[in-house]
Amino acid sequence: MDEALQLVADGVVVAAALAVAAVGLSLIMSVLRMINVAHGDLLTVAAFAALVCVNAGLPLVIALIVAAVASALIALGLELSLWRRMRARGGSNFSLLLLSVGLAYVVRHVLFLIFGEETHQYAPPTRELAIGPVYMTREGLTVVAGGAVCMIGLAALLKWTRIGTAMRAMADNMDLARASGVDVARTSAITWVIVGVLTGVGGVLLGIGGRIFPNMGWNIILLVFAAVVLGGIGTAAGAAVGSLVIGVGQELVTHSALGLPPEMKQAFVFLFLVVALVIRPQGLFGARRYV
Amino acid sequence: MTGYIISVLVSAGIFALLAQGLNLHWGYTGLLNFGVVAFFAVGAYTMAVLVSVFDWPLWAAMAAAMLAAAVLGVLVALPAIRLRSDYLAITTLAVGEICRIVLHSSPGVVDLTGGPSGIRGYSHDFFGLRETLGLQWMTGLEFLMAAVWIVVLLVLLVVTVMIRSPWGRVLKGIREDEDAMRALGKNVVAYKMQSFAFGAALAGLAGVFFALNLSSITPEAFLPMISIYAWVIILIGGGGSLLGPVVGSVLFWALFNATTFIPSEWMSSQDAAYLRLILVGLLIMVMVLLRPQGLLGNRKELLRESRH
Amino acid sequence: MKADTELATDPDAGATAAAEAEAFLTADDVVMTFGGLRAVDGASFDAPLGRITALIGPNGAGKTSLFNVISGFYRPRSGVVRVNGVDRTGKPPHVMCRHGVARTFQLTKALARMTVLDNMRVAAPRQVGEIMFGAMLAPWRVRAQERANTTRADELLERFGLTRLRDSYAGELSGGQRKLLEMARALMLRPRMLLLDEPLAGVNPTLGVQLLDHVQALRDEGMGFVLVEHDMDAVMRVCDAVTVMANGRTIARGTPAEVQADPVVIEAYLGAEDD
Repeated sequence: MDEALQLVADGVVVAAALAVAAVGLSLIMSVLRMINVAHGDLLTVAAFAALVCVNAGLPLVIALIVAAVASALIALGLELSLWRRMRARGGSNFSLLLLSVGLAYVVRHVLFLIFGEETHQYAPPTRELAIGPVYMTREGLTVVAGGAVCMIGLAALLKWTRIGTAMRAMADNMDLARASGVDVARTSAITWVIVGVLTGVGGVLLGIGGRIFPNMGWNIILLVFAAVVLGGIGTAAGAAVGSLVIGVGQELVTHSALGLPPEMKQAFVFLFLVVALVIRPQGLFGARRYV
Repeated sequence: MTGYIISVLVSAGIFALLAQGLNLHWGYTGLLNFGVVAFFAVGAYTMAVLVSVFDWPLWAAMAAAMLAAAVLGVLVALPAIRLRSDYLAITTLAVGEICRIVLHSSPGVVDLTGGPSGIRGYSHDFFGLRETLGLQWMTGLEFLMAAVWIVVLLVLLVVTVMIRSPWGRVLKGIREDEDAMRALGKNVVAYKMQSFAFGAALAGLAGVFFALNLSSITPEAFLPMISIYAWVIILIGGGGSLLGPVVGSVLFWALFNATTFIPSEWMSSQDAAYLRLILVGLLIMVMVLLRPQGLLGNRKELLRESRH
Repeated sequence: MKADTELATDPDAGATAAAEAEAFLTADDVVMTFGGLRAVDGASFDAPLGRITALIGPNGAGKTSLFNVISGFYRPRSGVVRVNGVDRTGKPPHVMCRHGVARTFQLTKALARMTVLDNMRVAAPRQVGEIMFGAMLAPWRVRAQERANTTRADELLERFGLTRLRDSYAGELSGGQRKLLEMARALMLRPRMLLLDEPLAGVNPTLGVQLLDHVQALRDEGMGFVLVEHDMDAVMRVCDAVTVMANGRTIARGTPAEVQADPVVIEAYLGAEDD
């Protein structure tokens, strides 16, 4: 039982970082109808941006802010230079997806070229603290707290701000949104900025919870997709729930009672993703919607 | 220089087969498969295991490899073929990773595949053929190159006949408008399955030659990158053109292997490898942005409005 | 893994002439829902061979949904669709085609990057060459069929005045030409009943008259037609029978004259116009 509880606790930490990563991908999928395969590698960029700051002697909080700002600027730059141009030319969802695949390769291997293959950490890991029956590190607790703040903040933004309303309108029906006065170009750009900030924070949280290396984002991109698909596209709550299922689920299948090698855990998650996509493409927890 | 040309032609031949499979999926039927590596891996491993563990003759193992890849194709397509196109892309990407992880660590499977340490000792029969055929004057690599290109041309012939037949006409119709074809009495799902299985079998065949080119195969040889290479080749050559995958593959590998000419004082071989992959990414972006129809294609393949 | 191209004899051959005279195609009490919305709410309908049957009604009456049910594109929640007296409810479109029911679309679906001739030939039923590897296993048979289908396609193109566009890409055709092509293409299937979804929408009046002339001529040759159409003048002029739908139900049926005089129909149309 204790083993299961410990696995759940580990899973929650994974889920918290995953959720912040997932909700960004999810927003782009719903508002702009684009699958951004480079999302994982943009998380990595943010993690390395923070690493550079930490190595320069800045405190992690400052590094986090720098990473978020840098990431937002990159996202905005890509929107203005690439995605918008492609959409204006009538590019299909698929050509956008392919373009993002190309971008993913460029970004990741530029990171390899600069930073090499080694793994890095922001700080040496601290001792585990006993919380009830489970053990957690300070880093783990930071990740969970950071993830929760991001998710709640985003949910509030979507629900109560004007830009949130505009984003939801675009996600619902692009033409209708345009007809009812939503400035689509501006909303798209702001969406990318918001997603950029989330990507920045998500990348740093991933780095705090684990290690920093050039493949870190690519390695989790399918998990992120799985979380988005499970939770249903376009909501903070969906991304959170999907990430919890994926994060906790993948830890639980390593329970010693099942006797599976830990490397298999991702295969199960991917299988889950495939099954989820096939059975309920609108998300296990998403509302059934008609288009 | 000769070494460079032969290594380019061997890789180009193998990937021309793989890309021809993807061309059937995407170019002729409009199915977004991002996991051709799954069929490539299943082909490679089926052949390797049957030859080295079960002592099958090479030709039978090759046939079994294609069949196994086709069967996996059907199993994947059965539930996934009805998904909207971008979800099909994600699903197939995941299937590719599942295959790799299963080959790497699944209990039961690793007894046959050797897990992370891989499998070897399956290529004697193939290279032994040189003596049988009296071709000892060829190096092993030259022999492989000749064999792979004969197969490439045979496959090209078969695919050409099929695509120009009424069967291929139905596939093109499905790519143009699925509902129209349904209204014309075609069982669209059955045709998609056939295209998927056939393309998967070609990818499996490519996997066989890929394995023969290596003295051993490990799961790490079957990263999603393989699928991406096939896509780049299709992007260069142009989807929906019969020669596209062949020409695209030669150009791709000529460019890819050219980085070996970078002097080592400029750049370590590791860095050159990274540079190569940056090049792959840039190539994808440039092709999508500037010539989405490929170098050979003359029609707007990629820019057509997705119906979803 | 087998394409639906086996050479079957006409499965309807055994049906009695009496059943045909009654109605070749019937829909009984069909219900079709989307989420909470009942698009078709217990509609009944029948169409005999050798007649043009119109399906009319105000916007949102459920005509197109019913049309999609009887052509096999939607599976109804309940109700029965019969072809030639046999229950074919919920059968997919390719099965409906095999039993003699074909359709066209309101927004034409020309296969843009295929030639007009290939658009026609691809529609021919029971082609050996459409079986996987068929062209390799029986090349001479495929060639003979291909010749026959090309001849048939050329005849139809001639009839519809499209011969000079034979080798153009379908994407280059005008809207009206596409409508003609789509109808000619559907005739490649040799259907006994053709369902036309708004054949006159987006077609210039001259071409429209031409299209309806074709329909009437084919009716006189014994084919049945179902027409969903908004152009009331055209409906009243060419149709033999009219079924009126409103709010997902059939509210009246009869000859054009009867339906026009029916107070229920007048009220349905006026009521709809008030919105």
